[in-house]
Amino acid sequence: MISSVNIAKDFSRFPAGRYKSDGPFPGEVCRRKLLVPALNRSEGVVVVELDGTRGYGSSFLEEAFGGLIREEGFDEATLKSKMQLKSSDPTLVDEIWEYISEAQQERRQQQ
Amino acid sequence: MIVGWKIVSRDHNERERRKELRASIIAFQDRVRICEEKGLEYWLSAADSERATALSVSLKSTLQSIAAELARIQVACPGINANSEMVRFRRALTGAPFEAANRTPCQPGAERLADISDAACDLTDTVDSGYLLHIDEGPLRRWKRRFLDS
Repeated sequence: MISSVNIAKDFSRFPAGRYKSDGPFPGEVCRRKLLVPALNRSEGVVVVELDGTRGYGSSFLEEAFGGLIREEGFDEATLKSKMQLKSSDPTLVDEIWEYISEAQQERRQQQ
Repeated sequence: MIVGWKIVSRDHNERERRKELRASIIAFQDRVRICEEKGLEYWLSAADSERATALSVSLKSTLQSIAAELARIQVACPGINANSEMVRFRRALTGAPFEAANRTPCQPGAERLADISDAACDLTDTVDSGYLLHIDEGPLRRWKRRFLDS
């Protein structure tokens, strides 16, 4: 079964910053309040809709998506099979998968 | 005469198409340079200044429209592929500690500032060289390449 989350509608049109201390809609909060519950709740694929915001900073994206591996214990293979990123900007999707890959590599190096 | 007219008309259309493409590439490159300047100003300013807040919002939305423009250019000119350079540019401009409350301003000559300019340059150069390759190829060679690729 496919479920979907929309960052602009379900979180904010103005995502900004990395940590809670950086503002009201940072990557850390998006990950904890939106992405993790959606991934845990759904048994099928979760579609993450990225369109509709007034742009993303890389720091937000890294914390929200790279943090899924670093902080929440997901692994890259699970995310690849369980999460689908949807955006009219293909470079945004590429960038997010880069962060996920880099976080996975970091974890491997630490182990 | 009809064949001659067809050839002239086709060449004219091709020239017009190239002109339009060139104009959108120049507009794209100007936008990248403006974004680069805004980025440099952002990283040199204090995190809690009003100017930095305004610049961070503007940078994110400008990057979004630059990416959309790049996608349109890549559709019009398949020889251009600058997606990885676009990612690098966004990462250089808005990577951590972008929008962090505890960010300290960069010193002039800081590595980040050089990275931003380098990434901007790479992005505009890649688009330019992709365009030139596409134009130099000519329609017949392009058709041959597409045919062989498929």
